[in-house]
Amino acid sequence: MFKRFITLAVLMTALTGCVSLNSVSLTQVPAERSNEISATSSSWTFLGIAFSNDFVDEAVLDLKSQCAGGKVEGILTKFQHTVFIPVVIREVVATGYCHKG
Amino acid sequence: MRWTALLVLALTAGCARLDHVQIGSIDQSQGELVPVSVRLSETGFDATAAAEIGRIASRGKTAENFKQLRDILALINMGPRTGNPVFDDAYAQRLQEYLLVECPSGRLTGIRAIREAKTAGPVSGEIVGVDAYCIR
Amino acid sequence: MKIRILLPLMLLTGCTHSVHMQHVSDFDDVPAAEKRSVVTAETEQSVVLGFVFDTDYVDQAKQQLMAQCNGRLSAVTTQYSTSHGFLHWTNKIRMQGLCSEG
Repeated sequence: MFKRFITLAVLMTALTGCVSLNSVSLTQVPAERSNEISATSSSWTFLGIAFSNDFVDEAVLDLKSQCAGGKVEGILTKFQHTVFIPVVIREVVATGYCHKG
Repeated sequence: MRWTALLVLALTAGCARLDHVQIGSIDQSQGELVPVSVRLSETGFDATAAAEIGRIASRGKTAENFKQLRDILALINMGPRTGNPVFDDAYAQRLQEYLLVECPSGRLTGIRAIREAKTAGPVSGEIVGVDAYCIR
Repeated sequence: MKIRILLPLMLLTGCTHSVHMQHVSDFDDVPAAEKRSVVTAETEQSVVLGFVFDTDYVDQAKQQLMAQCNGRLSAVTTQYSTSHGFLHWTNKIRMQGLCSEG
C-alpha cells in the first residue's frame, strides 16, 4: 500500500512539470536600481544525464551584453530543475541591475 | 547481508561530506590580510536511516516493527534534504554577525563559504562555515 | 508497533529541517558600524508532494530585502533551507544584508 502510494506520488510529480530549486545566490545590491536586466539559459537532458554545463555561460554572456561598458550588481541567481519525465530541464535564471557611467 | 550492511556503516563513520563551496573575489591591494573563520554547526540525525539499520540488524517481529517505523518516519519527514536532517534550521542565521565580530571593520575579502558535514552513519555534524581574510 | 513507543519517536523526529546552502556575497564598501543597519527578509513556499511550478518566493525575498533599504546593500547572506513535514514540506529563503543609506 505504502509503496504503491509513493510510486503514484513520484509518478504524478514527475509528469506535471514540477520545479525544484537547487541553489540561489545574491550579490551586493547597488543603491541605483532603475535598470533591471535579466538572463535565462537552460539545457534539456534525458533522465537528468548531462554531458556539459556550458549553458550556464550563456546566461553570463547575455547579462554582459545587456550592460556593455557598465557594471552589473545585485545579481540574484537561481539554478533550478523542471521535470517532465523523462526530460529534465536545467535552468539558470539571473537578474541584476546595470549601472553605466 | 546484515553484516555487510553493518560493515558499510562502520566504514562510512567519520567521513567528511562537501555539499557546496563558493569563493568570492580576493583583494590583496588594500592592506594586510588576516585570516578569519566562522563555523556554525548542528547535530544531524537521519531517523529513517537509523530505523532501516535497526531493520537490517534485527529479525522477525522486531525487524517488521523497524520497517513500519521507517515508513512512518519517511512519511512525516518528506522534502528535499542536504545531508542529515537537523532539528533547528536557525543555526546558521548568525553567520554575518559572527563574521563582523571577527572583523569589526567589515573589510573582508577572499570569502569562502562552505556547506559541509562530518558524518557517522545516520548521525552527523551539519556545518555552515565561512573562511575569509580581514583587511587590517 | 506500540503506540507508546511510536508517539514519542514521532514527536522527537517529526520536525526536521535541512539547510541546503548558504551563500555569502562580497563585503565591498561596508560602511562603519554606526552608519550601517542589518536588514533581513524571509519568504517561504509550501509544497505538497512536490507539486510546485515556480520559484517566485526567491524573487520575493530579494524584493523584501530591497524594500527595507534605499541605499546600497552589502555583505548579503542567502540561506536556502527546507522544513520537512507529513506529505508536504516548506522551502525557505532567508536573506540578510548590511544597509548603508545616505
